[in-house]
Formats: sequence, structure tokens, C-alpha cells
Amino acid sequence: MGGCMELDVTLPLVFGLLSLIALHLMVVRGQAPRRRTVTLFIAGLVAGTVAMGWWLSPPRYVPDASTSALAVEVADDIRRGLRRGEGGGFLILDGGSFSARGVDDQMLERSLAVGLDSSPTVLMLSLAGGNQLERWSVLRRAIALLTREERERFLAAPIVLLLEIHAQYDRYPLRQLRRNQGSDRAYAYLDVPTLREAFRADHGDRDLDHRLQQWGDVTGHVAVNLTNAGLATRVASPDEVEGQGGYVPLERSSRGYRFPGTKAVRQHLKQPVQMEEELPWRNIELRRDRYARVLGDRPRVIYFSVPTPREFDLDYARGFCAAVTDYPCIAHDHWTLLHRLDDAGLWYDNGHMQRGGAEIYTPWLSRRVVDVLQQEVRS
Amino acid sequence: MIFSSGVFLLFFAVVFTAFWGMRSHRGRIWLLLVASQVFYGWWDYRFLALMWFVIITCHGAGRLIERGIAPKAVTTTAVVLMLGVLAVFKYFDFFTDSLVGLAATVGVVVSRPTLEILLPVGISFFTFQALSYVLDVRKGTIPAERDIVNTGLYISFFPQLVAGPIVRASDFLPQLRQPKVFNTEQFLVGMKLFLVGFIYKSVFSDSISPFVDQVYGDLEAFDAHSKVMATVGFYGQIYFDFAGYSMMGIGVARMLGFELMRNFAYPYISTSITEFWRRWHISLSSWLRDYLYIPLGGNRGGEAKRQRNLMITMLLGGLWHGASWNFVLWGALHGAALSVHKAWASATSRIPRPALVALAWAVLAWGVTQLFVLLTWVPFRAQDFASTVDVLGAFVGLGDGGARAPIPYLLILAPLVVDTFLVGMSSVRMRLASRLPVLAPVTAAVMLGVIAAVALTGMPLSVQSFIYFQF
Repeated sequence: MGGCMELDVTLPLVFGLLSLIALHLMVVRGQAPRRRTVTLFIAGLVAGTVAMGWWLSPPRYVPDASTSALAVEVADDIRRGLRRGEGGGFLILDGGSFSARGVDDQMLERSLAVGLDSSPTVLMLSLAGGNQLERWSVLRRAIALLTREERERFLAAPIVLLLEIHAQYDRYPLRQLRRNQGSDRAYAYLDVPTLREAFRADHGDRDLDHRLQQWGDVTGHVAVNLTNAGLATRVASPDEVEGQGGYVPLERSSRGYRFPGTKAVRQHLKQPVQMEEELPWRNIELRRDRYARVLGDRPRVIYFSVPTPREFDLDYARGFCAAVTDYPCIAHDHWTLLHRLDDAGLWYDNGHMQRGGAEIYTPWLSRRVVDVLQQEVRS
Repeated sequence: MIFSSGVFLLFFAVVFTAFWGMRSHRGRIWLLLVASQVFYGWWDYRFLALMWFVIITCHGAGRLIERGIAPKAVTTTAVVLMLGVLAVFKYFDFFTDSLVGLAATVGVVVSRPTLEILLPVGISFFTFQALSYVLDVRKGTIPAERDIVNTGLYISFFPQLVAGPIVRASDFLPQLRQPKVFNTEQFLVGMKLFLVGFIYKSVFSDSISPFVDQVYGDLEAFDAHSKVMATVGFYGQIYFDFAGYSMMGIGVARMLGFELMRNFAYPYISTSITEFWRRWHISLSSWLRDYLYIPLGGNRGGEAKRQRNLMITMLLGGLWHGASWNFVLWGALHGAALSVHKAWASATSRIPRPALVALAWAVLAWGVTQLFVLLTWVPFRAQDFASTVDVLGAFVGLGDGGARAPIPYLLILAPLVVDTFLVGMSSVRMRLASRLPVLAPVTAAVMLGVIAAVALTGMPLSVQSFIYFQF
């Protein structure tokens, strides 16, 4: 967000100068009881904090972080979908880096248009290195950028949630926080609603030290956000932010990466489904709940997994889909798909596809999503 | 725990509530003493022992001097001990490096002692306070303090402990004996001072520092204009940093009912270097005047002796700022400038100046003075002589090979202009303020709360350490 440089400097400077002048021009005389004086000071502080927080929040300002570019992109896509007005609604794809590298949102939208009578507009929430709570925060930010009328129309439209399943992000909703603590992205998503969700979630088998560290990180960020400390230095005008993100294709392999092939994982398809008893049920439920709270109770949920050449990921996806029977689930346990992906040139590393891989996987995913939606319509 | 950090704000909220919630005067003094130890120990609790060594030394010396037990010897011993603390903990590496370097230039190879000594925070401030106490008792200016709790609090009072102002015992100890009564005006003035300091330090100085650090951290990479602007940036940064921190300390003390001396009085409006030193770090310059310059002979004994005394004072004043030859050079340049200005002022004082000429004269004098101050900040900021020469060369267009840094002109210049010309020139400020209504305390309290909230949004998030901590 190079265009934000001037704003970074100007806003805090203006606040500083205005405050300085106001302080120097202030002349006080008289006495008042201590408790009343201190209470009124605190009241002014709280009122000022609330007012500044409101003023520096969307739609006037967005956090000056790369995730805001994604929020702007999603908001633009929502407006585009509303302008189309074909009744197809929206398909929100929520995934991590596997999806960001492996699912081409434009191709997905085109493929869905072929398979469905009224095709949805795809909103790509995929975020490399972003955990589930961060992605959820991006959607909230995108919605906050809409006008009231746009928001109402969006929330009234049919919405399908395409949720990526992932052994790590499902189990650890705050995964990646430690690595990104103190960053613009961390401050952008660790607000009070995220804190509430973090407290409700299960955090896997982390030891006490790790948990304490994590809670310290979360509370520290939220405290900074609550007090607006440095907020003026961390926001940008949405007009200055160019929408980008979502599908970010890779064009080469990671240096030194040796592709193991997909033969082993295809042979693994013969193994019985396992692992469902280890699923992080609480987090799975909470993830649906928090989307329902933002989008209302109507969204249809479809789970999906992105292929990798690892048996573990396959086991997890199959176990998940076998266990979560109330919702459609598209696991990548498909011999032909895995066979077509058996090419080192399609892979960046063991978790992420290159553009060629995305071009194979996206239409495959699209066909299955169409099947699920048509089946639901029929039933 | 620096004043602009969340930890300090929490700490102070607790201390403030407990202090004014307490009825016993003695209890309040104990509370402040304990709070001051916590505040200092937060950095490194091991140095509390060093601080208490200084406290016990100066307290004991004061008592012995007052009783007439070998006052001269006691004074000398106490001064040597306290300067010894400073010499070992602050200057040991500097002296050994300099001696090893000197020996090397005459062909003698000496191995450097491997004593790695940490620099205790605020050591220059609290040892100077202790010295002034002993010397004042010796001169009979103040009586010796009988209660070591009071002496301990005088040396370790947390608002001024790590960065001044350097408080005099004659100002502070009487305040410890008076029971405190909450005064709304004092509280609000204290809060106002704290907020002004907070804006100086956290909004202005901390926002400028990344640019200055970037350029000074890699001088070869940047062109002459970037170096000049980085120096202008440092000119603002060091003032806002130091004056801001001092002001926050004075404000915190005021909220607890203590008055500390003013440390800065808009030094960048000075039209002479003499005036600059009356406005810059006032508590240090007056300390140096009273305990070094005057004992050396001051203005007595003719012009040559006066010049010598001035130069010694300024050289040591430079060294006080840091254990490096760059600071000595900085002090020497200011010492020389003070001498030149003295001579110039006496030579030109009788020249009649009509109003317009006087104005032009003042503008020119301001320009020359501030250019000098700006240029002498270069050795203060640069790492070594080579860097100093490099940056000074940039002012005459030398070393223009590097790239142009992204220069935040507005950020560098706007606070300086507003603070110097609008706020610093008191007539402008007073004229504006006189047109506004005087606020009742309750209104002012709400307004200060709102301003605090606004100021908080403007601070860059990573709190920078105070520049003067290591001095």
C-alpha cells in the first residue's frame, strides 16, 4: 500500500499538533473534589477513545495491512455481485494458503456459471499465513466497507460458505499468531470480537507455557486496539488501498523441493478412514457459528480439502468428511484427481500447488460444488 | 519502564490512587520510596544496591559534615566515592579504550582489560544529585537531612530518577516535610505537562527517529540532502525526546504534589548560544555553573581564567552526556561558541540599533545560533569522527553519491515550527489564550481526557527508549 505513506505521517502529526496547541491554550482555575476530577478525566479519556476508535474504523479507514487489500477486494466483489443481481448469491471461499495457491477464484466462478442456472459470485477469503480468525475478521472488515443498503442486500442474498478443512488451522484457530505478533496484520485482526472467539475456541494440545504465551499475545494486541494506541499510524483510507489478494498463484517450485509424487497417497486411498475421533469438534462448530453471526443463519456450508501429496492430509480430510455428516464435504480422496496432479511441475512444496495445479484442481472442485448445490435444490 | 509505556501508566495509576488514598504523610513518603525502588528495579534490580550505596554515602557524609567531624575530609571522600561510581560504571571502558589507543600511537601495545560493565540507567542524574547534596551541606546552604528515608527518596524519586531534571536538595527536601493536600489546579497542570511531554516524546520524536536512524545507520547509502535533512530531523528529535521526557517527569511529580524545576524553555527560539544554554537542559547547566564553573573561579581572575573555566565546564559537560570523544568535541564546540559570543556581545553591545535593525539583527542572530546548534548535533548523533566529517561535508554538498531517502518533510518541520514560533514565543500563545475562556476544573478534566485519547492514537506503536537514558 505504497500510496498510504503520506497518510501514515499526516494523521498522527495532525493529531499531535492539534493536541499540543489545545493544551497550550488551556487555562484552568478553581478547585474541585479529587474523585470528581479524576473520574471526569477518565470519562473524557473513555469518550475520546470511543470516538477516535469509531472515527478511525471502516468505512472511513481500514487497518494499513495487506489483509485490508483483501477486504477491499472482497467488498468490491460483493458490489460486483450485487450489480449482477441474477439471484445466484455469493459463494464465500474461506481457506488458508493451500486455497490461496490452489483455487483460482475467477476460474471457479466461470465454472460454476456453466454448471448452475444462476451462478454465485465468488468471494475469495483465502489468506496465506492467515488463521481462521483472521480470515473471519477480513470478511467483517469487508462488510463494514459497504453502505447500509449494500450490506442489507448482501445479507439478504443466498450465501454458500465453502470452508477449507485443514488439520492445523482447525485445531489451532490462532495458528501463526506467535510468528506474526506485533505486525500490522496481527493488530488488524485481534479486536474484541476475535478475542471473544479466541476465548471460546479449543486450542488443541498446546502446553501451558505456549497457551500462556498465546493468551499474552492476544490480550496485548487487543489492549492496544482497545486504547487506540498508535491507531492513527496504523490506518489507511480505503480509497488509497488497492484491492488484491485471494488467489495468488505460484509459478515455480520452492528452492530445493523434491516432489514425492502422489502414488503413495493414491495407494493410501485403499486404507480405511481414520482419525474422526480426533477432530476438533468445538472449533468446527464455532467456525460455523461465527459466520452465522455475521451472515445470519442462512448460509449453506460445504467443507472441502485441497489436495497435497501427504497421506496425513488425506487421512484428515477423509476422517473429517466421514464424521461431519450434517454438511456436504468434498475431500480430495479422488484417484483421478491425484493421478492428474502427479507432476513435480504442478507443485511448489508439499502443501501448495503452482498455477498448473490450481488449473487442474479448480474445475474439479467446481464440479463437485455444483453437484452438491444441485442435489440440495433437488432435495 | 518508560513513561510512555503501558506498564508505567498502570504503575502510576496504582501509585497515584494509593498516594492520595493514604492519610498518613509518613505513609505517603514510604509509598513513594518503595514505588521508586520498583520503578528503578524494573530495569535491573541489581543496580538498586549501587543507588543505595550512593544514598548511604551522601546521607552519612551530610550527617558527619553537619556534626563537624572532619568536614573537609568527609566531603572529599564522598565526592571521590561518587565520582568513582560514575567513573567505573560509566567511563571505565572509555578511559581504557582511550589509554590503549594512546599507547598504540606511541608504539606500546597494551591489552585491553576485559571488564564489561553495564551502564546503570540514570547514573549521571542520581550521582549529580547526591554530589550537590553533599556540597550544599558542606557550604551550609542546606541542613543535613536526618531521615535516610527522605534522602533515599530525594535521590531515587521516580519521576526524575532516570532522566532528570537534576533536582536540588534545597528545592526537594522541604517539600518532603510538608504534608500534601490534593490541589486540583496542580493535578490538572501536571496532567497537562505530562500530555505535552507525551506528545513531544511519543508522537513527534518517536515518529522522526526511524528516518534519522535509517540515514545515520548507513551514511554511505544516502545523498547529501538526505543527510542534511536527517540532521534537521535529529535537531527536532533530540529536543522533543529530552524535553518531552523531562516534562512527563515534571508532570508526574506535579500530580503527586511535588514541584520540580523546569528543564527546557523553548531552546530553539534562542538568538545566542548563551541564551541557548539558559533554555536547554536548565537543571544541568545550572548544576555545572554552581558546582563546577563557580568553584573553578567563575568570572573571577581575568579573561584568560574565565575562558579556561568555561572550557573545562563545557568539556566536562560534554563528557557527562556520554563516554565518547564525540561528546567531548560537542562540549568543546559549545564552550568555544560561548566564549566567542561573550566577546562579540561585549564588543557590539554599545552599537545603537533602531527597531527595524534590531529585528533584522535578532533574525540573523537566531539563524546563526540555530545553524550552529544544528551542526553541533552532528558529532552528538554520529557514531564516530569519520561519520561526523561525512555528515558535515554534506552541508557543503560533499559526498552526494548515495540515493535520496524518502524524507518526511512535514513530520520533521511542522512540529518544530509550531512549537518554536507558535508555542515558544509566549506573546503569541498568551494573546491567543487570553481570547479563550478560563476553564473550570471539571471541564478541563474532561478536555484533558479527550486530548489524552487523541494523543494516544498518534504515537507510533513500538515505544522507543529515551535517548538520554544512557547519559
